[in-house]
Amino acid sequence: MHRAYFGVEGLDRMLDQGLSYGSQIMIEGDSGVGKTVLAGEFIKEGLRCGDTCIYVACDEPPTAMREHLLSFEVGTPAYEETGRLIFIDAYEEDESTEKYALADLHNLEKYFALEAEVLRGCEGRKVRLVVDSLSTLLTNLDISNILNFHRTRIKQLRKKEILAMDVFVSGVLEPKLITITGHLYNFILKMNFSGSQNNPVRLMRIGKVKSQQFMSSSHLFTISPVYGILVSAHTGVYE
Amino acid sequence: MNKIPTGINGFDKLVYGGIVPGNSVLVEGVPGAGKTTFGIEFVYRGITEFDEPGVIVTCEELPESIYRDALNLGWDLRALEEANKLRILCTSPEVLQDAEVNLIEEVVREVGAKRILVDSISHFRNVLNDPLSLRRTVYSFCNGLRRLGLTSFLVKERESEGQREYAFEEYVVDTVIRLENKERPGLHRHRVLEICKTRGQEHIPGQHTFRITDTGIKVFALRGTTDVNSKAEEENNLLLTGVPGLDDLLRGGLPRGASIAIAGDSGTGKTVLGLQYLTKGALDYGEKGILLSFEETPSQLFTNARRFNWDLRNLQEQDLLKVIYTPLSEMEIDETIIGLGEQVQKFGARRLVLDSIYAFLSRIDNIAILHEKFYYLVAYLNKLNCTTLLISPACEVGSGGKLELIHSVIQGTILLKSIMLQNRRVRQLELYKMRGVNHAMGNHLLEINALGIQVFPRLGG
Repeated sequence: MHRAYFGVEGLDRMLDQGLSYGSQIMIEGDSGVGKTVLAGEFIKEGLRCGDTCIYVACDEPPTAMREHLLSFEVGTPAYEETGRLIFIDAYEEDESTEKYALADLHNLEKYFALEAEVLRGCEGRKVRLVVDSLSTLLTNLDISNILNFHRTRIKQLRKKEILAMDVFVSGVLEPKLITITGHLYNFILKMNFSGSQNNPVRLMRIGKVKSQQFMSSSHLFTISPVYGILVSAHTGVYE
Repeated sequence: MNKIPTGINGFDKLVYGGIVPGNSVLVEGVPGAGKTTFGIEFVYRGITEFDEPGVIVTCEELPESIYRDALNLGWDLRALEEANKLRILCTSPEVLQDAEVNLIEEVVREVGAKRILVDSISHFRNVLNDPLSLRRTVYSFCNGLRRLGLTSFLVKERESEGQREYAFEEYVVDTVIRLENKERPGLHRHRVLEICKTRGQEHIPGQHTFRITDTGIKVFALRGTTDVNSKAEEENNLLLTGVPGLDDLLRGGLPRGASIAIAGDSGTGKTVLGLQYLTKGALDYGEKGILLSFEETPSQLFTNARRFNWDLRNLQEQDLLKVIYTPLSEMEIDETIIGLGEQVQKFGARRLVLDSIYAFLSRIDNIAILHEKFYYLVAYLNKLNCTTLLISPACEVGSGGKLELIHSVIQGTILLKSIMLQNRRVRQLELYKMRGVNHAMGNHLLEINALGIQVFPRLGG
């Protein structure tokens, strides 16, 4: 059975058995901590091992991710032409020039329909889906709508064996909602800034891995302009 | 049982094939109801379709005017007379009742007549004042016709509309047909026929509308329509609507052979939904469809459809779609129902859109009659295995009234709405009723975009 990894060495080492297709990953973290970079690594890894990758851009236009990938020497046009890499524009609304664009950002039903349509086109393939960031789509909606959306969507993704990564920006949604939502995912990774004001450091911590043992300790990481995310080699605890 | 068909379009269905030979049929009605035309057609069809020569006896009109009027309906009576198959006898009632002068007998023998029309026997009243002798005369007159082997149509005039009084003639004859020319809502009148009595044979009771067309009388026997033999297809019983999202709500599609109301205020997308249902049906699923419009002309519909890139004209040329336009002002309910059924059978349509049933509602004030007509419409179309969308005005659920009644007859109701939500007007769709389908409840977002209608099922079910 195929197992999936993030493509981030230190992080993958923490996951002995990797992740199965059909898993749902929740990435929660501070603004600027490197969630999008992690998403980029995840896609890069997916492309490297033959998966079809779908990236839903909610906070920036899809071009930003194209440029980001290019900066890590991943040219996107060839992948896009062969349908291995698909961008969904959930940022520009009506002005989008992308093939797939969400025309109304206030409506989860429409997002769900668009996502389902794109996934239908990928049937029979191993698919990675990244929504960056899902919390943006969920702002200003009431809690029952959001929970209904999560339940329905995650059920569908699981059924279709999609490896899904949803990015949440800390502080956007109410803590209570994040807690409830977290129950629906089977892998949670928390990323945040810590350390002193003068010397902030980036930390990541696995919050949950369903049916697997995991170390819940925090790990220092940095972002290298060449190598991407580098998780500190030692497994020491930074408290 | 031996019966002779009258040959009048639709009428024979009401008497299960025809009239017992030798019987006397009383055709009574108010002026303008169509009695004479009815009688003449009986004789004309006898000669031309069943090789039964006939005689027309008239006490009122001159043969010239009979020839002229019949020719308007395409019946050349003069030619039939020349061919020795018809005689028109213009005489007075005194001569008819005189037993010594056997005028009719002579004429009947001359052409070997089997059918006779007497227009009208009301004139006997003018020459006989005594009720007893009047009755005796009419009785012996009828018997005389029977002895001559004639099946007779006897016209009798009625002076009042509506009131039912039983004249002795009705007891004397074997069959009584009553014709009326009734007023009804709006600026319309319609002709109604009722068989009140048939001695020795069955008939379909109730009132039936009829029309005098260019080629004669056409009776619209709604009750006969439900006898259509058709089995619902057992395999693939669901029909895809072609509306993205709606089939998901329907857990696969609409049940085949069902009638579904699409109800909503104006501007909620009812007609677009109907057009999409037919276009996608034809293009994606190869199913033929008929659109019956009472309000918009075909060219208006073609133009509207083109905005969504649906080329209805092309579909019509490919024989996949048929657009029928009947102006609201000319629509006759019974005729529409029967005509529609015929078209569906002839064209092989699997999908039908009727836009809109307001045409029906505006014509009938009486709720019981409306209910019945609607029942026939739905039962007929369903038996033909056609899945029908009935575009309907908005219906307040639970409000009672005409619409509520109609929705009780049909198999499903889809409500289309337009509401204000967070200062935006949005369209919504609700599956209010779908008999036999495990459908999703609640309001779901509906959008009309360049590709037509799309429904976004509400998340969480």
